[in-house]
Amino acid sequence: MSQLQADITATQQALQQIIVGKTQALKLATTCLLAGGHLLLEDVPGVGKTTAAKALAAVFGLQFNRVQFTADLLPADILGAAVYHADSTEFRFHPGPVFCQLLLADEINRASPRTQSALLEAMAEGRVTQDGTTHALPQPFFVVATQNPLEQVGTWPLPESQLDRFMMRLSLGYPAHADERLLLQGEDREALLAAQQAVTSAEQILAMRKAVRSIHVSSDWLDYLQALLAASREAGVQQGLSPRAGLALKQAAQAWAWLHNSEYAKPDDLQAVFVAVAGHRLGAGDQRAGEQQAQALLQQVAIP
Amino acid sequence: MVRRLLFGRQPQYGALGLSRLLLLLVGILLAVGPHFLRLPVWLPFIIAVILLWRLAAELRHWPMPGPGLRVVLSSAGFIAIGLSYGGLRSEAAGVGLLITMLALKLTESATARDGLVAAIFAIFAVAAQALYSQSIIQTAWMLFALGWLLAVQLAFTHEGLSLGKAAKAATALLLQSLPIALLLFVLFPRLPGPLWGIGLGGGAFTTGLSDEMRLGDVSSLAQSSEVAFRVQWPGKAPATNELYWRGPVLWDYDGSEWQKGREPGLITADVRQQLQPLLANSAPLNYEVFLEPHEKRWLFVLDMAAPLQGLSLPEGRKASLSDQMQWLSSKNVVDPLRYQASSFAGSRLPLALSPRTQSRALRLPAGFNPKTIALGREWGQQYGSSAAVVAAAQRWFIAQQFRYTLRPSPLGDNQLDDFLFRNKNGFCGHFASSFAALMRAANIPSRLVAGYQGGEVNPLADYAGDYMVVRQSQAHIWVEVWLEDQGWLRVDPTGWAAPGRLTDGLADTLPGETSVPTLFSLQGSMFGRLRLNYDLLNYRWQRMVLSYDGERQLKFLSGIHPWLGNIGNLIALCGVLLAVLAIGYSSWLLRKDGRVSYSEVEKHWQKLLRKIAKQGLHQRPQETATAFMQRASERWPSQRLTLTALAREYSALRYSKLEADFGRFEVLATKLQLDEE
Repeated sequence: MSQLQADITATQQALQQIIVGKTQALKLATTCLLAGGHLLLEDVPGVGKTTAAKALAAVFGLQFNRVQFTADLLPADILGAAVYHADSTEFRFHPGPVFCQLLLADEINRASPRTQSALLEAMAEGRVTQDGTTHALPQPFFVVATQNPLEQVGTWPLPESQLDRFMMRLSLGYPAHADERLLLQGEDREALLAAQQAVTSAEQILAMRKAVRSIHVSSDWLDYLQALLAASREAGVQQGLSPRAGLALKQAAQAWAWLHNSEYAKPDDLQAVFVAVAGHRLGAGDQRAGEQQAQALLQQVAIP
Repeated sequence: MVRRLLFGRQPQYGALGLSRLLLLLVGILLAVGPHFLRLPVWLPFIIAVILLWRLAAELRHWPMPGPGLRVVLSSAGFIAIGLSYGGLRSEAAGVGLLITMLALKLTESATARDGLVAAIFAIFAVAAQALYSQSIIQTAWMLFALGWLLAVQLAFTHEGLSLGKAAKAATALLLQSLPIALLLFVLFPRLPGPLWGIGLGGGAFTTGLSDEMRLGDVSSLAQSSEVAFRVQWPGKAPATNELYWRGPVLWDYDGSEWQKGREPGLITADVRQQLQPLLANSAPLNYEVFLEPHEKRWLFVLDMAAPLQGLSLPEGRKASLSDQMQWLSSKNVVDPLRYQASSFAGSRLPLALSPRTQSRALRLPAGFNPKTIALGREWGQQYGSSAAVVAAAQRWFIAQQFRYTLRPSPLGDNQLDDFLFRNKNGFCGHFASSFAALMRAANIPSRLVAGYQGGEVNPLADYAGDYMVVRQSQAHIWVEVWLEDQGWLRVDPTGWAAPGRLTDGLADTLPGETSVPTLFSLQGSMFGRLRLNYDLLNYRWQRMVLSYDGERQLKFLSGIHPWLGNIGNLIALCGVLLAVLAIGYSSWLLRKDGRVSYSEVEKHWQKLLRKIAKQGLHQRPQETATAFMQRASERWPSQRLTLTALAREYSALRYSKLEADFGRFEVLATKLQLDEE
């Protein structure tokens, strides 16, 4: 086990101190961060989406910003704007909250499509272009967006094309009985977050991402991935998985394998990340249906 | 600190495992056992003690000796070997040192890796066995020991490998190396001269003729059934009683012992001249001798080997004829030697005696054997010619009714008197020395010749001509008397007393005498047949394998193609062949990308799945190996470790980039125990 892998194990322990009983979801979130993707958390209010994002930022030592999305939020409110300075008589760019390492985009589906797409462009490009000037975003840049499935009034659901930009969609769900008891008995989460020391640094995360990219995928393994992709496209009525989804699956599986101290990707790693990565891209906007389809694909497709 | 030096940091042995340790100890015994008789007396005991101690240490978890104690032990080993062999420079001392250090290696063997090193080390002791003997039994033993040690090594490198599997794999390894070994055996250029000719004395040769004789010596030889040499005749072998294989000549008698005295000189040119017309008149007898090593220079040939052409020896070997008509190799015979000879059977050796030689051949020790000397003198005066004296002696010997035995009655100070007039029983040495003494007393020059008499034709051999074995038990001593105008004439007084000794061999001469090895009396029985078969096998081995030296190799290969009959070409060919082998093998490895082929892995995986399916558990097509084995270990919780390891190895074989170890998967698969739980 390398030092980096020892560090990542430590981050998982620290995360579990704050978010009780969500081991799998936290691992997947970490996987998403390591694979260089962005994360969409979809859940009922109050299960700890925001706490989870803050915990990720605190544990991984990332510079954290939060934007609460509302219907009147404008792109410049996120990206920043050129402001006239009277003393120097010139416009100077004032970076918006997007210039950070971990951006929590809370209730992203409450903002107008125009604002949504401004953020999603920044996510995809890793930079912001304003008035012909390009400003690079800091590295690593990790967006955790949350959305609320029940509150459909006054929301603009993310279109499929934009959902595709998120590597994973996760649900935390209600805690189990024993975990909830721990939560109720334990310290205040905010206090825990405040006391949390960073386990890693931004530089270490970049090194981890590099290590993840070197995880070996054999041709046997790629056969399995392609079989899954092909099966999703044959399903017919709905849209299948895009090549971008295929890449995301591969990167996520590599990160999952690395997270589990492996030097190569196994079919198990692909299965572990498949629903999280493919679920929101299937089912044509119907979230539950997408996850069920992803599950069904895993059941149908034999490992070559 | 002292404690640590004495007992080391590691508290105890244990990682080796009892069963693997036992395998290793047996392997070491196989490697050093054949050396035991040649080693200094103390060493086998020390080895036995170390082996037993190591076994007890494993069982009782005794502390292992620390570095200080080990340094002391190995230094003691060096010194003891040095003292026993008088230095460390001889090859025998090297072998002794090797064996000592091998035994001491056990005291520091705590881990599987140490065990592996000890097993590799033991292979050197096996190879050292070839320095002493290359007989077919020895070779079979060495092969077995090698296979055993290979299996031990596999057991050490593959945790949990069953003995059967290890043995199978070791056999496969040996068989795979066989073609290369054969190729190199046939093609690899032989160095002129013997490969093992490095003078391993020091008790390696316990039997064989000696160039001195006490009354009693030959009898101990007579009890050994070891092969002295083998003879291949082009046609029918001559009658047994004509076969006198000439060895050293003994001149000097001091009352108890006959010795050869000064070293014989070379045959002189004028003697050659005298021999020439004699030889021209008779037809030579041609044959081929396969001589076993005996550490002396003597080359046994029939009386009298052609002095002119010489023997035809392998390349690089030289021999010369002495003035006593004995062929001597230029070097001691320390490895099996094959040579052709032609002899003129029954010929006499007409030499004129110099006064010095004559007085030497007439000398008798003063004050010994007065009766014998008196009888000899009486004959000398009574009969006019030497030939008449010999004839009278013959009559006298027959009339006395001597008894031939290998257990003669004890002799007093006057050995010959006691033998001739009191005990009247003995063997060839007694007959020959007393006859020679009688002749010397009668003023007839005489000397003893040691050698072998007879030979045993193997009826099972299917060669064109007779094939014959001459054993140590056929060692014999006879007399040569010098007659005016006739030269040295062979006389065998043993034949007068026990004619059967010369015609039928030892066994029939000695009915009911138990000191003769049982083997001798079993001629014709099933056991006797077995012995003949074994002997034939050994002969073929020697003919085909051991005597395949540089000269024969070139002859054989140039028979296939003239181009091969050149050492330079051979070296080039071997180099090219080995390079092709190496390149072929490595490119095969490279093409496989350092892993077993997919189908091979899948085949074994499917076999494993069938084994599990028999218990009613099936892998679903969408189920990964890990998930399936997880499910299986819920059913067989005691096998959890093996099952998860199997899934890990299978995944590694199929999905990892690194060179995966297929052996581990196989070992795990054999370890899996799926009982109903």
